[in-house]
Amino acid sequence: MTEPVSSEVFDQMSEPARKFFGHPAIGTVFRLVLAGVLLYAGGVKMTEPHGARDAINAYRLFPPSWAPLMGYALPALEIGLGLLLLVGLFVRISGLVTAVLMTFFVFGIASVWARGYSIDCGCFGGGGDISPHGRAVRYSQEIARDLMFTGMGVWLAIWPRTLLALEK
Amino acid sequence: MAKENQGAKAARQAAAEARTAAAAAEKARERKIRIFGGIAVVLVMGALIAVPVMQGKNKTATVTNAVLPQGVTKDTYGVKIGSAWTAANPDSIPKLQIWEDFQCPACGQMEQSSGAKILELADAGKIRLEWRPTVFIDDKMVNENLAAGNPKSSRQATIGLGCAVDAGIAEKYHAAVFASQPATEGDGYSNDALLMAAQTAGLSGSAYDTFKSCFDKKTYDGWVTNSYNAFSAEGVSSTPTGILNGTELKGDTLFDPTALEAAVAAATK
Repeated sequence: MTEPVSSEVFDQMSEPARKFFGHPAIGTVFRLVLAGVLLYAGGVKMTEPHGARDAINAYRLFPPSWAPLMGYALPALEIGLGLLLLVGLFVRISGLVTAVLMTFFVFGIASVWARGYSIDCGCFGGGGDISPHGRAVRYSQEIARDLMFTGMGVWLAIWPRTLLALEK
Repeated sequence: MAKENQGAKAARQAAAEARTAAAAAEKARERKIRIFGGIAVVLVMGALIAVPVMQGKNKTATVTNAVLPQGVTKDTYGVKIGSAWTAANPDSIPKLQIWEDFQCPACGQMEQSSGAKILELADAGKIRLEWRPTVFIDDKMVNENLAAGNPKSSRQATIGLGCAVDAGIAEKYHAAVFASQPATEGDGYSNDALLMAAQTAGLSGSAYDTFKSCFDKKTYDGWVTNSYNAFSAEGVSSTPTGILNGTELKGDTLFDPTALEAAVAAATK
């Protein structure tokens, strides 16, 4: 479960880099940051009955009939992942699922951007269309942020050993 | 010597056994944590899905005995504006449906940039304009609306729109409400501000009294609920959204009067 990843790339790394990558303290920070982000995002979506479903519809990627179920399932998934990461259980799989989820969000935002829609990503609740002004800046910030979270999830999937975790 | 060796060996063995036992205990402990932790998280997720699904069923029920404003029909619950609806051959005139929430800032901007052009096209009989009201921002801004003392602002403003339809001042009321939209999303409309919009739209005397009675009694509350449900059911779900002859307008068309007029011209056969 926690054996270090050995690959040519890793072997060729300098000593400081090898100490940095996979360091449990860094993984702990990533784990807790992702837990906070997921719990917050899921919690906010939960408090808005129509909110998450309207935000999902705004992406215009799925048939409208899927939106109600997805509107309930997405925040539940986010909260479940957030709880697992918070206490440090199933860290490897949670990190992986978080990375996949964040990658979906990146594709979603990139796709509405490419199609010329102006929407609020609904990442932290809210969601729906907004005015077109300044959307390039906003979309690129959202994508950068979600890519950062993807990176943290990947890190935890590779090096799941962290401090302050239920699993050793 | 031999005895001593044997003793050390036994001690080592015992220590090794103890280590193995400790490792096994640790493994068992961790397995227990994983199983219980996993079950707990799955239960939480299940509850988080089940509870809102059950609540949501009640919330989105259609109001079967809803009173509808004049000219509004059950197929769309939209407000039809302009002369084109009663033209000799209405099907040849492009139909523009616009989903709006009175509290939506983007709708306010859209009204500022294109509102006059849209009404001009409708009044000239060049489009069949249909306003399709939604009130999703009431749900999105529950706390902000409450803090400002204007709960369910979009709903009350839309009830007013229904009353304004009956009074024959739908266009003016609609424009007056958007003109008085608060700068901060979530501040909402006070009832006084909405009644003022009706006066700005030209109502006075007994016509105003009729409007106010309709407004205070929330006569069209059920209509608003049904129109909001249609919003979610049709999956448009964001505002403002323009649908021209059944096709959603792309990008910024709705915000750009010139582009909008061109799209309407292109859709006119």
